[in-house]
Amino acid sequence: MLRRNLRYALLSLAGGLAVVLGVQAYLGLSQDPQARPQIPGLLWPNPKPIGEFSLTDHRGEAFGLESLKGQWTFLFFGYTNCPDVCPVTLAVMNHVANQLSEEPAKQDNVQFAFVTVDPERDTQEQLAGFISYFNEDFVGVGGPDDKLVDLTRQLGIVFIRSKPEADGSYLVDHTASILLVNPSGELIALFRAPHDPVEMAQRFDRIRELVKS
Amino acid sequence: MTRNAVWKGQLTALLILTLAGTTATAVESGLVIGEPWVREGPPNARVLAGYMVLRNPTGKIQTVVGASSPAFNSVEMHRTEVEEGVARMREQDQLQIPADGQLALEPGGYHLMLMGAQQSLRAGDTVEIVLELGSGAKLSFPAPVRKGTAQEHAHHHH
Repeated sequence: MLRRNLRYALLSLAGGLAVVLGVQAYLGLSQDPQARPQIPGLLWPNPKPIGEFSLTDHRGEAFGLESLKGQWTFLFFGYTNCPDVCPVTLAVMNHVANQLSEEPAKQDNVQFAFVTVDPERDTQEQLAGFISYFNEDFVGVGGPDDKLVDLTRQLGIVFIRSKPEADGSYLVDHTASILLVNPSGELIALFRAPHDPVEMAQRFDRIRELVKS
Repeated sequence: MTRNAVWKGQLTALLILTLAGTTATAVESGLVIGEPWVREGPPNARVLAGYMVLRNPTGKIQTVVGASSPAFNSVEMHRTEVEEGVARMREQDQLQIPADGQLALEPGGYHLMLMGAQQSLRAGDTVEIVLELGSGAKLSFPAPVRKGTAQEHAHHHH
């Protein structure tokens, strides 16, 4: 089990590295300062298309590439046994959602998803109870490791599970950034930690405006 | 709030020190606990986080070498670190509070990892937390459970 986990962690890490290098390559292509908008974390004009993947949401419905299309998606990867970073980040995402809902036109077409990198402990039921505490509209997403890495590898998400302690508990290191996927199903921006929800909502507005024009 | 009021608030939030069966004041222990709280989690949360400010009014470095709570199966001291975009929790053998200084346990940084709640905790509940100091003294104090906010983290800069 541990060996399998380690293998996925390494695979995921390798995928992450590939995306990081890819992003650097994209940025290198557009060095003309006038051509590149000064929005931190933005991959535009070279968003990264996401390929097919097959996960399940906290209601038991399929969650794949089609679930990302037609709307903007804020994506965060974590686990429910995470006491500090994950609750803080979900509270940030809830704050962003509330900011957007102050102008009803802006919250249209936006979803927030939390993908567990600890499917063994985060069953559908555990995910459902966890995610709805932060916001009833948020989506919890999970799936077995082989399905999970189909997505994490593409997005450069890293997760590394620690060796279990005597009582079976373990920690999971994971990417702290929140990802933004556009309605075409392409990774378009990264929001790095620590997150300021007000700034994030503003940055999201700028990104949407920019892409529209 | 005036400085004096803050100080009073901290003292009223305090603490009973048990040292070899006797009770001493917080100041005698060499450590003052400020604004302790536990972040409310989802009803099915298996782990919660505890935060506070540890102030050391003495001229000597103070250490916390362990933590426990009757409300949880076990408590560990951790620090969240974000390196290269990856969040890691690292267990700490001890926390060091510099002489005449302080150490903040706050979202996104040092925190107590509270595992296995004896019962589901809601905002408004209070739990007891016990810190074991390097001196061997034990510091026991109540920590209210409350909802976290999204903004706490944004002010966390080093």
